Amino acid sequence: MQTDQVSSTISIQTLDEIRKVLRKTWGWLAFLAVISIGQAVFSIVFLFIRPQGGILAILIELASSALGIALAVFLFQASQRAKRYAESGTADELTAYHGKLKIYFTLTGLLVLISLVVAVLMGLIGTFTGYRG
Amino acid sequence: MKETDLKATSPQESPQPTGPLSVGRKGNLDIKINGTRGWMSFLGIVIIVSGAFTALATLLTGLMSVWLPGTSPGFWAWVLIVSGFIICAVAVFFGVLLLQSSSHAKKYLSQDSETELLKYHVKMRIFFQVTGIITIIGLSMGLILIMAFSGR
Repeated sequence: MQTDQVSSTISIQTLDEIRKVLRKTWGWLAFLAVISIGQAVFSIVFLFIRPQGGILAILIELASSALGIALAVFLFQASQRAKRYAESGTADELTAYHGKLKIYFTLTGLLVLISLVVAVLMGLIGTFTGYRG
Repeated sequence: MKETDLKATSPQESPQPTGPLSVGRKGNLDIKINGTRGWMSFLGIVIIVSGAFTALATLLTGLMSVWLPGTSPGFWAWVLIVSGFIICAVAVFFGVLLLQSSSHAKKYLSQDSETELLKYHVKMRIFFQVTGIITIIGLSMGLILIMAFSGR
């Protein structure tokens, strides 16, 4: 293996400990991903069985479910990378795990930020139109 | 943090030896952890603030139902108030965990400390584990409520 000839920047002992921690993490990550996918699929199915609100509300619901599935897929990929690192101890898997987690947290943060901005805008619009009315 | 938290409890040895982390890969890892850290802090703060707002709303609802003349809080009002505080406590706990993870990541990146990297991973494990347990509790409670109300 090519990596065997490279000296490690982080001690093997620490990497071993991280590997053991990830062995206990990946199962929870996979569980959360599966639950999130199930939840999103359930809400899509429910939307088709009993559609509520106008076309805009349905589209928003569909978009949020699709985003939920996308987030869950990244979480599941992170879990699989963590599992592979726990099994093989290959450094590439550790960096890939952190890469997937980074995408997951970035997307979640962006979604929260967008929803906060939308909520503030809606509040302002509501207040403005309220004063006019 | 307790020493036992850092030490792996599993006595099972790894089937394959752990590979070394080269300079290039460590740089890559640091970039990814740095990218995660900021969003983690942001989410932690948002969760704590929303938890505080929930607590405030619950407190106001509780006070109004207790002290407003002509009203008395019923059993379900108390259930609502207590659930509000539990939700708030859980939210603050999640927020604190995320902030602690972010703080360990920051220390690791600034001091290049291996202990901090390990603590970061442990905190992340606790965060996902607690999220999973809360999800199981929520699902169970939802199922119990559905069964209870469908029987009526």
